[in-house]
Amino acid sequence: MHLVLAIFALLGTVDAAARVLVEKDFISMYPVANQENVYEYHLVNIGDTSAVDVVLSDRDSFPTDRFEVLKGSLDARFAVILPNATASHHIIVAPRISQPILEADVVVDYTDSETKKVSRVTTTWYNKGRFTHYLNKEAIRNLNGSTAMYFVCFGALTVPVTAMCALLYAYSKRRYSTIKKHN
Amino acid sequence: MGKLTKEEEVLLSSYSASSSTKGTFFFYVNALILSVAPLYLFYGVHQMEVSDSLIVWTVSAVATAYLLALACKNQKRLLKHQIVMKRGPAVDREINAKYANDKKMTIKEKEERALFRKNEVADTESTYLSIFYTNTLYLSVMLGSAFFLLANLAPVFNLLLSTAGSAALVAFLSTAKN
Repeated sequence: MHLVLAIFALLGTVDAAARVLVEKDFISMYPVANQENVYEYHLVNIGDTSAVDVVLSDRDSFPTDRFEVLKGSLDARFAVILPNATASHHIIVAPRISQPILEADVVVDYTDSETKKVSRVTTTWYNKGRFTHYLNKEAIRNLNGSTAMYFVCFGALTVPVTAMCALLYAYSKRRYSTIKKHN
Repeated sequence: MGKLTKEEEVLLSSYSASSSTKGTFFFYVNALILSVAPLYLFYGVHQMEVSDSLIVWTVSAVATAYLLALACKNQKRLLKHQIVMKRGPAVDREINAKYANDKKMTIKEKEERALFRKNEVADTESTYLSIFYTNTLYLSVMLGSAFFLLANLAPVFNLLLSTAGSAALVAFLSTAKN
């Protein structure tokens, strides 16, 4: 029993280091060219110690000749990420043309606060060979269907109430105006 | 000063600022429809997700419904008096014509009936007109702000400003004295 506990304790001490995982999410509904496309990054420290000098870089995914960065930065720096804590970062980019673009790696460098060991984590295992096809607006319109349908439904909800009140008022007004006119 | 009779109380209540139960019911049903309908537009056009936006939608719907009902009540109060003045002679003629052959009815009774009828007509007409006016103003401001003025704003802020904000503007305008 003591031996088992000793092994667990040893494993515990071996793993007692910062370990950062990175996640990249596409927040917008569809990737569309010449429109705002929102990306969200989550950095999670699943290790036992804090990660310091955490630097996230996603420059390769959004080359400036193909993308315009509208908000946020392609490089983000976090002074510290505590154990079991999460840090988030957002960017808004607008692709210049409609085209499929090969996803590049998100690279995160961080230093363990205790051992001062510098580590790197990427999204290679997830990205490899993945393309994001930024569609043009017309394609999205066909995909979503026309927004006119939503306006028609909205009108069907609101216009009857409003029009009915106007008609009833007009009817009442005409009724009493007629009496006045005849007498 | 003596105690008021039941008829006098009814007459007094018809002149008071408070709206009738039927009118209040109409106002709230109308306000509910007008506060929920834009959410469908935001769902479809601005692509807001139901699960993500439920709290914002609830806040928006409740605030908008309350403000629109308030605007309708205020508007009705303003319109009712004007309508009573306008419809008065016509209602008098209608009552006189209706009870012309009734010899048992005294002039005082006829006047009372005319007064009740005037209030009834004014109450109904002011309810309809206030709903029409409030709806038209609210829908114009809301659609203009949601799809033109604030079109580039984040959907959550766009929703809150264009629905609750428009309703607040309409409610504010309804507090005018004349």
